[in-house]
Amino acid sequence: MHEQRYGLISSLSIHSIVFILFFALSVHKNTDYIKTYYIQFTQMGEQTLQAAGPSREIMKTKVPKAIKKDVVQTRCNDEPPVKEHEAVIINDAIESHEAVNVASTSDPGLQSEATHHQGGGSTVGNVPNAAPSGTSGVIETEFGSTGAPAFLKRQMPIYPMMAKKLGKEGRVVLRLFINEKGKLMNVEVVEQAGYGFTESAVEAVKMSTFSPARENGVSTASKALLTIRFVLKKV
Amino acid sequence: MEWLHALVDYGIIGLLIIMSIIAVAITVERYLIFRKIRVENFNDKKSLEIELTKKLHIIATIGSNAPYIGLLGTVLGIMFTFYTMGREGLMDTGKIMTGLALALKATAIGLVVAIPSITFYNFLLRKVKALIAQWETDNGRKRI
Repeated sequence: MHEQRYGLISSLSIHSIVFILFFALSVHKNTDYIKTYYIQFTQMGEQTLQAAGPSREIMKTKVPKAIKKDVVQTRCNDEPPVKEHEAVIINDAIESHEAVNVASTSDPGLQSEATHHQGGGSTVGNVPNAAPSGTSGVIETEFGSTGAPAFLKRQMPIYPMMAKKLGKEGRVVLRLFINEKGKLMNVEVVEQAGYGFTESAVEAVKMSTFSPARENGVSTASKALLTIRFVLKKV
Repeated sequence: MEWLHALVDYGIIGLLIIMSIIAVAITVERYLIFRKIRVENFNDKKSLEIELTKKLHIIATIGSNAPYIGLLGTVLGIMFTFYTMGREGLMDTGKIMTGLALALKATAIGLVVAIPSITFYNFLLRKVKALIAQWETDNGRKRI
């Protein structure tokens, strides 16, 4: 009887060791804490709406909650990152200027702006009540400028297959809340694009790591604008 | 059809893990018993054999059946993928491939369970044979 007990205990311990090793080695970056906000500007910045093209209209008809669910589902797949594809994805500061203007007109805090919009009766995307932590001393910046957060590990977004097939290009503008430790707190979609561009961009950002923004040599929390362009290279 | 996915993910893989735990537990138990057993205490060869080969068939069964169970999981996973494809119509190639790749994990786990089980079984069988041979030599082959 003693042997049976020893056998069971040792077997269970061997299996648990194997499982612990397995899960420790397959490092899954936990991105569940990152909230994704979808913001839609309907009344302000009409000129940039045209820049986004007709795909915005498609996205607008969808319920924001459903979009968020889609993002969650694609995250569950845990696909291995595809490094090599024929698409060029550039983070261009110059191109994103119009988007910056849109964002800066609505800058006094996302939350207040969102509530204002909801009060005004215009469409504002799904804004969860979870406020970004440490909003005091948050600097507004954009990727590429001095003192802005930078990529430590940059995960290139996957060009959505369907968009590639249809020859569609797009641009996604995200605002990343990065805390003083360089941890991504949440992602805000400032400008959406259809054909899975938004999901792909958000997914890639969540898998990337960042260095925090620096102000006078001190790392601070920041909201940084990131423009991701999906461009097909002509062959 | 969601239940099929859950069945593959939890049912099949859970079953394989339980089988693996049982196989290792029996192996350890048998090993301890083989080390402790005194062949001199047995007067009959057959009773010694019965005592030694007890539970060994379980390891053999697990070793031979784990790949089949894993294969069953893979077939169910592929069924689920095809079903989803048929229902949703046009589907992303990446999604299909991911579904198929994830379906294959059941086979992989089945093999991972089967390989050590067969090894343990052969190891224990050899121990049994050695102990019986020792009994035979001790008894001068006169009472076989």
